[in-house]
Amino acid sequence: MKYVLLALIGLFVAMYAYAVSTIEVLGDPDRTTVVWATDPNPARTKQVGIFEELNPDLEGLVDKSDATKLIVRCATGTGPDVVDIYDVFSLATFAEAGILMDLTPFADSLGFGLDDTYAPLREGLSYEGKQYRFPCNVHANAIIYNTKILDDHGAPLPQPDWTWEDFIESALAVRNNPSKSGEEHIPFANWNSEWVFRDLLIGHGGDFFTADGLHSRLGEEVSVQAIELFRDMALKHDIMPTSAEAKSLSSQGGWGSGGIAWFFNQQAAYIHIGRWAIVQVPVYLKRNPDLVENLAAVALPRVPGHPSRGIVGTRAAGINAKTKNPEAAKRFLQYLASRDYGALIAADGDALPPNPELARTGEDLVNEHITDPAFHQPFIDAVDNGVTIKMSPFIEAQLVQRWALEAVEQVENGADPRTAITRVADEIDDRIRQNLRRRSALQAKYEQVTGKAYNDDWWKEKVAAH
Amino acid sequence: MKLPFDNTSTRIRFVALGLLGFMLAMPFIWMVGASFKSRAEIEAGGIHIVPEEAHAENYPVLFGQQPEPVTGEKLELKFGRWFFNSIFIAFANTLIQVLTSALAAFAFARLEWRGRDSVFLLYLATMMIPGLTLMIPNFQVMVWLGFLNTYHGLIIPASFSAFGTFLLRQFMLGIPKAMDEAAYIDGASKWQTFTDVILPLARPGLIALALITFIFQYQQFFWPLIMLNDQQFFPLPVGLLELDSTYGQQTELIMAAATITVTPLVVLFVIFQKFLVRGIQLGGVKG
Repeated sequence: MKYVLLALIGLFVAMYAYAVSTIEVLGDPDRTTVVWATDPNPARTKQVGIFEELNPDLEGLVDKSDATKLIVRCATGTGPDVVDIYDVFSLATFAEAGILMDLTPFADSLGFGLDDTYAPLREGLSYEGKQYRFPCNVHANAIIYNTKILDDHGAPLPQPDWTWEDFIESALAVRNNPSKSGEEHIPFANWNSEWVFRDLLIGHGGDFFTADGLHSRLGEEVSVQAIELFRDMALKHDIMPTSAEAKSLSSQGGWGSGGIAWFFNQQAAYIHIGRWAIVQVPVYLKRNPDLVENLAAVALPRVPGHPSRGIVGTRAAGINAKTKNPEAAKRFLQYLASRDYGALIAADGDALPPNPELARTGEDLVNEHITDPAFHQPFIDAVDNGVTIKMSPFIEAQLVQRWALEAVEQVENGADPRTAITRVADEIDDRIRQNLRRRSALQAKYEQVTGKAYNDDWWKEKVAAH
Repeated sequence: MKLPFDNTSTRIRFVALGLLGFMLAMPFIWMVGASFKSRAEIEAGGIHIVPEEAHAENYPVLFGQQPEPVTGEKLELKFGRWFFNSIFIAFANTLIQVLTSALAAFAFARLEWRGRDSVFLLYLATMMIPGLTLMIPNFQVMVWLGFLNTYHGLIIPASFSAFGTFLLRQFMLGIPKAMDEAAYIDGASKWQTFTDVILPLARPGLIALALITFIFQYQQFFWPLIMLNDQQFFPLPVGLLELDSTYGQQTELIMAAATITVTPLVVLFVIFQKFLVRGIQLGGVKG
């Protein structure tokens, strides 16, 4: 027994010695390191490489943290210096948690202020009047389609100013018309149901909240129409797989998978996505050499009586409020606003560059793989015409996002769209009332927003009006 | 001679259990099959398990010995290192935890001292606190100690276990007191009694605890995820997440990685299942 124990301890010592002696020391002791928490897109390595070339005294390290880890690390003062925030929901959560540094006092003078990027995006970079982030890339969705598949099924090609009815007609042709090649295709590669719904909501003239943030707008008729259209596409016309079907059809996960893989493998006719998807094109070219010549893009279909419009979003970087290298982090954000970084984004196809000067027309975005300016133009138009989702300071953003997603999934599973979406609206309104009743800080905010004194029955006025 | 399939109810039971076993094994069988498929075959869909053509190169690709066939580039991952880390961290935790648990169990089971049972109950009560509630305080302690991105941060917090102490104490309580008394009469010290008498007799319990600890530590995910940023310290479960999030389209590689990940556990189970079952019975825990 003793010898066994000694042998095991010996083995442990040997393994420990090997483990410790083979650790590579990361980071250059002569340079300040900027740690950037971002997504696992392999393009980040190149982007950091150029940052280091332009800033020889700084070293960039990419940290592919997930959200939970990020919050724990930032809260304990061990987080990265620069943090990517993916949407307005996360922005609100991170800002309220005190994780992000307020950039407002210095952003303009350092060249990454709100005026240095696209006008429709500015609201989405701020929370409660303070700027917390600057874009790494800017995206709004358009429709990318495969001309070869549409032709194969004799489906009508999209036209500018088309409507969702036109879209459905074309997608139904892909589903119903036998193809000349004999192959079957998915009409619409839905890779993210929530995004489709949100764009439909904005396209119908809806939003999540009223301007004062005190009420949900999801119970309005336009919201019901939006989710009914979503239901029709998924269940009635059966032109797009539901989230569950997409998951069961796809054995894949991770970055750039599922519907995106179907589309770029030329198995699906349409996809609703941002320009960032084309960063994937080189991966698929080897097996689909004719892919690029078959790709085209067009603006989102519009709802009759409304312009083509969707959400403009951004993966945008904020600075960790507890960073040990605030000056280096600011220089990283300056890099994001630079022409060098913007040119790289444009060339890689990773959505649109933060600097609008580098994306005035489709010509500016032509890259090695997709040389037709007409392909890129709809994405610029989508950003210019897009809107940012309105958030409310009176409710937890992640909760709203979760409830909305649950409603979408319920509808995909056959629930009545009107019931599902109005229930979410009611839940949001209830929560806002609860939060206001319990938190004096929110009551002060209420008084600031409305100019009225707060009382617990404030909401009855609106209900009575209804 | 009476065969096990002699009566109808036994046959029905065998068929039902066989089907259930097959259903449980199916994902693992598919995983191994998919790890030998080409990307094209996986993306083509279908539910066939055996690959049309075996692609063993998925394994060397994973270890960075060959470029990935579709992109022609080597993966920027340290899969071999992750495998070593998993084995090393699980082994270190197992060794230290078994030693500390055995010492504590000896004190609680064989030595008489004032307040022993109260201290034991207090120690046992720590098992009732959900691990996640301790995550932030533990993490903060690790930050103070400077253990982020180190092996120490993964090994030291797992060095002591109330469950291990409880399991070995139960085992040691089953050893007749007369053994210690005989040792003391022969002039043995408490330490000699522990090392020369109790530990050898508690061997089945030690093996059971070692197996349970190794399996548990080998599968640890959330703590290493929080503690580590640097790829070179990742154990396999965190490495699999990295692989999935970076190369999620490469299902065949993910399946090869998953196959490699589960293999040590399957081997351990096959060799030591008798001890494992005994340990689970003794500790009254689910596997």
